[in-house]
Amino acid sequence: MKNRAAIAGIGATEYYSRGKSAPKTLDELVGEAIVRAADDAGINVRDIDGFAYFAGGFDTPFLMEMLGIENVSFSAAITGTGGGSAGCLGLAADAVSAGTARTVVCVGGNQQSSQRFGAITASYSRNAYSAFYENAGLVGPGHMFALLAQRHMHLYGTTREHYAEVALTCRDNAVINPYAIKRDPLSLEEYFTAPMLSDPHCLLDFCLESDGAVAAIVTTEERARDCRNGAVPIVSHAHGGSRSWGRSIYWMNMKDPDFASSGHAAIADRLYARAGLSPADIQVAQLYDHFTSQVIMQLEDYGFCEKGAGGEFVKSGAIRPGGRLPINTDGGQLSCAYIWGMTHVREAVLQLRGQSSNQVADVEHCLVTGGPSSLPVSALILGKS
Amino acid sequence: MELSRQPPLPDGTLITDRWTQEFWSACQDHQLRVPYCSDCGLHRMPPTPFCPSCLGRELRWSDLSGHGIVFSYTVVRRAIPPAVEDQIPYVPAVIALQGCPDIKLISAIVDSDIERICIGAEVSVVWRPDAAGQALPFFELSQ
Repeated sequence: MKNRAAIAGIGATEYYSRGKSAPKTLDELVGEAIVRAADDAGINVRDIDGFAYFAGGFDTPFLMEMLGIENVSFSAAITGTGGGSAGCLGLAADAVSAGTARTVVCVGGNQQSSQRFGAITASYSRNAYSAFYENAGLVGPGHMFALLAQRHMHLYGTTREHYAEVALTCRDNAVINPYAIKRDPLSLEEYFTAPMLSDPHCLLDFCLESDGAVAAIVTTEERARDCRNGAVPIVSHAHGGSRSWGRSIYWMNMKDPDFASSGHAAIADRLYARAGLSPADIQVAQLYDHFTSQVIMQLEDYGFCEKGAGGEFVKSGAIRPGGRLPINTDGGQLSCAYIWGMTHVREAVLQLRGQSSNQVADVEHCLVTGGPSSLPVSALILGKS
Repeated sequence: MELSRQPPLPDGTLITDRWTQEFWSACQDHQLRVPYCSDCGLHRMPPTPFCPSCLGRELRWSDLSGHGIVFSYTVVRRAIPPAVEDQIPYVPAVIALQGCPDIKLISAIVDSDIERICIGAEVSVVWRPDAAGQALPFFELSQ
């Protein structure tokens, strides 16, 4: 592909448990991630001439003011919420491939001391359409996705043991990752004695609440090859989705089989087709794990197993190191850190550079997904130069 | 027997617009009333300005029995905001309505034996006011 885009640098703050990043401010964390990403690429931060975001993003002129960036030729955000975390890299890729910008930084960050995502609906302003979901006690996404998980169990015989396997796999990966937050081992017994929050989701089916920021520098593959750590090409990217999923957890009018899904099936075919790839070509995946149940549904929606067979797939050991498809090799959002999907981009880059704590042998392609949520959902496939 | 409670409600007043007003007005009369397209007959909930099938705008309304089936549910046993600690356990649910199975309401199952709540269970509408006196539809397990 002409002017293919690539990730040239990745940078992150320390990953903090919720509130532990104080007294740093969120702008400071975001700046720290950007400076480290530029340093990782071996470029001057002032060479950045574009910004791509998701979930509302950050204030481009403020970041320019703060970091001394003189001019930008691209500043864009993917609509929606965490669904766009992988997709913002796609925006950047299109911008550099088209020549709109040369060096785009994608950045995500959160400080949950100010906004707890577990009770995020309280931060939304009420409107005529929120009136149709706001009286049910669905305080956070964990309650909403529990409804999907319950239906998945009813339709396909998925069990809490299957959800546990996702949680335990992520924890085992985190234990040997020096920058993961949760590094104490987790047993099946501990999983089953954890408090039930919103059945079938117990505390350990929920992602962590964390503070931090992650940034990625995107430029053309040609330019990235000359950078300090070389190029990790963006082999394919897709965002969007189907009306049958639509507003998803804020709508709940999806029919079977879409109801008990991640909403990603509608973009998966396009993601693979753009690169002439299939699930068989993916050796490792970083799947958006706000909830264990949604990992199982993404495995189905990305074609690693049949619809409804995700529980059995994980039970077989497939997502463990050495299995068919190791996932969330940094520990994921369940055990490493929750930076609204951006930790998955970082870990995918490390896998392709051969630098992961849980390095998978002979990685050619890594799948990265954005959050199953209201559309758009998004995903990337990263490859080797 | 452990009974499900009424879920915590948001602060402030429920907001309506000219497309949704009739739904909530009917609720005040303890009637579940849902709209369908005047031109092609397609139900659309929540009511929106356009019919997604024919792009017609006009709505007609039909009254439902208030019976339905549990499509999915979750038992909330821990409060994320501490203020609602005394309202647990409560049971958010998606209810498929009898008479138009393509429409599902996001509601909660109240005053019902939690052990008996399951997908496929039959439920009937009950009405509870919010702080401003707007009647809201919740559901109880049918006997």
